[in-house]
Amino acid sequence: MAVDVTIPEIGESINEGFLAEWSKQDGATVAAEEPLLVLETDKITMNVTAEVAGKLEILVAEGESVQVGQVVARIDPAAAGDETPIAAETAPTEPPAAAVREVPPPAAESSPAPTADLSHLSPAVRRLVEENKLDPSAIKGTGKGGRILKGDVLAFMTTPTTSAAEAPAPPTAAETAPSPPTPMPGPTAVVDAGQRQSRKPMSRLRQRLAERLVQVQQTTAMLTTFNEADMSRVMALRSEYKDSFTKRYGVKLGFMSFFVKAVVDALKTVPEVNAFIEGDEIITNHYYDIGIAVSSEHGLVVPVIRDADRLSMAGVETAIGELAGKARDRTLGISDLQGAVFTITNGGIFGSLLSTPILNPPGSAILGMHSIKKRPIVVDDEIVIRPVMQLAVSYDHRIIDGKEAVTFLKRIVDCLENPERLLLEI
Amino acid sequence: MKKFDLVVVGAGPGGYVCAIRAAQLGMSVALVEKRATLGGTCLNVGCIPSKALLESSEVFEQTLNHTDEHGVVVGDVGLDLEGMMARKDRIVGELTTGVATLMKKNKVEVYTGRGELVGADKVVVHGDEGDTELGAKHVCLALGSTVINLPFLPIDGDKVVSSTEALRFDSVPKHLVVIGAGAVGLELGSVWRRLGAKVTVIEMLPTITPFADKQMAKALERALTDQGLDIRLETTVTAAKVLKTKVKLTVENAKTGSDTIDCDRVLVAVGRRPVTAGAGLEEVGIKLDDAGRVEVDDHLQTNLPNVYSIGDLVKGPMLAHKAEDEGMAVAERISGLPGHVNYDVIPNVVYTDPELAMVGRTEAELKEAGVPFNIGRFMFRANGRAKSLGNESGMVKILAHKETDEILGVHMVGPRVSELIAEAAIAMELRASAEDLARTCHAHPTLAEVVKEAALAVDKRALHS
Repeated sequence: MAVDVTIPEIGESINEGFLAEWSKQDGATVAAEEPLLVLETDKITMNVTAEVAGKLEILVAEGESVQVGQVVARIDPAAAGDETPIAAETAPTEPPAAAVREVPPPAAESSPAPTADLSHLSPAVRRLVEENKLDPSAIKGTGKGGRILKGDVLAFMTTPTTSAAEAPAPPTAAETAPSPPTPMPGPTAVVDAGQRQSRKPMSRLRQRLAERLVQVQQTTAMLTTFNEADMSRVMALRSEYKDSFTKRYGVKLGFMSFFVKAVVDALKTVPEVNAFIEGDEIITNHYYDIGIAVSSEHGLVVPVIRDADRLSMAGVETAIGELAGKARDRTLGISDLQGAVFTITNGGIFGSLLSTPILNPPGSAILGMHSIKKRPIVVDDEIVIRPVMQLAVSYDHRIIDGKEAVTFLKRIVDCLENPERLLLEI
Repeated sequence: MKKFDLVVVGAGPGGYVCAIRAAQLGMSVALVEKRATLGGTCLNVGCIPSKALLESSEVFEQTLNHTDEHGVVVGDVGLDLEGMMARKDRIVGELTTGVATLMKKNKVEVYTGRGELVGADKVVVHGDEGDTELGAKHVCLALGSTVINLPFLPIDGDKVVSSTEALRFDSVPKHLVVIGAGAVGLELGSVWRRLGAKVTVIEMLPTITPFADKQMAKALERALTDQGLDIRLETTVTAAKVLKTKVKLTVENAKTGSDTIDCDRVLVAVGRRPVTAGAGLEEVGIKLDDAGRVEVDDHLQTNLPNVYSIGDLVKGPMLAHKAEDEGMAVAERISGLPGHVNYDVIPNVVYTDPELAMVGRTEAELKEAGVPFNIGRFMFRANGRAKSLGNESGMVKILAHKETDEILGVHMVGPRVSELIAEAAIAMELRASAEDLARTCHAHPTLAEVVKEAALAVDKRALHS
């Protein structure tokens, strides 16, 4: 009996995605746990693996939108042995009992049913579903026995998934563009060799990123302040203790933990930076979840280190290592990406000497790190050579004034130039 | 030695419900009770007799003072205290024999005598006619609680009494002093005030009913003070002298200093403590917690795996309905079913007039937990049914989560709110939003409309305010 391959639950509020790529071909033999396809959503891309070994029958082509729960392929375990033996070696010979389950009707079947009977919903849920023309079967219920609560609907409505699905982005973008439309390449323009341009659809991640970046530029009063830090003390500390640190904690002592700790310290010193605007109110955070921009081959993501103020240096390094690993393996969950109060981005790893980072809302400020270069600087009226890093803090001038932003960045510099400040908290 | 699947020690509302539920699930069950009648404190000397007296004394007061408002003219109104007590005893008798009938019907074997655990699988009943040994695959300890004594003012059952004696005074005291402004103190204080006593209530804390929402406690305090209860907050009794004909109390108030009160009776209602002595708990090694209660895990299991404990003997509020739910959960657990108690949704009621009822968390608790919430309030004053009843004091207050609108707490002071709180408890158990309540049709004219209006008020759209 064939086992259905369904689109798994991706995150709390995500109901659909984009089947970006089949890692296996139709008719191929797959082993259990082997990656089958790449699923892209607004926030992340992830691998979906095979539950059982067998022969793959693809039902949905690459590039199609898919719903959570939708059946996109079948795997016939009976056919596992009779083709390539490579897969069969690693695969268990019998499918796990759980995998041979009766799959509930796919979401695709129940979704185009706006006239469905809503009488089983609570009155507030019914009202919201009707007013907003929602499909209740797409909303995850967290109440007793899976009941949908009003809060579930509200959370569903505020997720970017639905708003992105509603906005038919490309045509409106063209309409509002002030310049006359650029000459369109021929409809066959794909990847022919020798062509001067090529064209491919933007990934969901890229689309979302683009949308958000423009939105930030338009809705905030963004400004950047710069400073530079003499990194010699941090570097000395690091080279002196890196071996014993690794030995003790099993992680490398990188620069990042110094920066995270310096940021936390600076946020505590200038709490105005740890705040954001909502409507007519300023909300100040009293926690320190720090987002770290990570560039993976699958795109830019910003996983979050939770409560960085309560972590040791080793704790920060471990957290970064885990998150970076998850980004690489495409196993980051939505919960890993939400709620950063402040973001650190490191352009230095690509060699950037100076750049102005863009805010990552709801955070109202972002720190840009850059490469460390040996430079002549003046210390005690003498020109000396020191490793120097340029630092940039972009901030939302609507709630952070120049004085705060500069003080904030100055504090980071102080902590980096005198790392003992982090220890003594002075 | 007769063997049972379950031996329940203590036949209060927790114990006897546990026994019934276990019998329903096919277990052989023995119920051990030291009292001659079943039903425990609640039925015999607690909830039920006090409700009987509250109702009777209310009739008396209404007839005495409020019939003219209705245009009803009565002649001389008199009090037959003996008759009132007889009615109360009849109600108690009917209910306790009713429980005995239920036990027969469910084939629960009742043993009268003090139950003593003599091992994890054996209970000895010390009856009038000697000891009986019962084998027990499982044991449920439901020994209940007893009143706390003040060291300098021991209960003598005559001038210094507990709630038990205050339910059967043979005459109306001239001046009754109640120590403790919790449910028991306020209810019995109300009974005797209505029947003609001068009543002074002494409370150590700055508020009556300290478990309640501050605003509600204040509203109730005002109503009770208007009725003539002399409530003294932040006051402690520092000394007491029991004389031949009266008791002389020295009280100390945080602001006004010290004072003396002469009275003929004192009701000590400062709380209850679990009964952990005399049942062999220590001997078989049952662990107690820091507060002297039997320590249980989330499944009400003690440190001995086949011994469970419920009700006033374990953590949580000392309430009959909490014990009942725990009794059910234990019986179901033993049968392998997923029984559980939702401790976040246990209603609490004070049967004064107006009544106070609550379920869920108070404003202060939500603030402390940092949970953002909206408040919806509605007064009984604007409700047609309350006006018709001639009882329009108080309000309903609903606290709902600021983002999800989920109901987090419902607080009421007003007429018959003991009955209205059930609606709030169901809503909370189903995790309803305030809007769900607001969009549910409520009969008109009823007191329950105030609940609906309060739910509307959470979203600032009450209709009649």
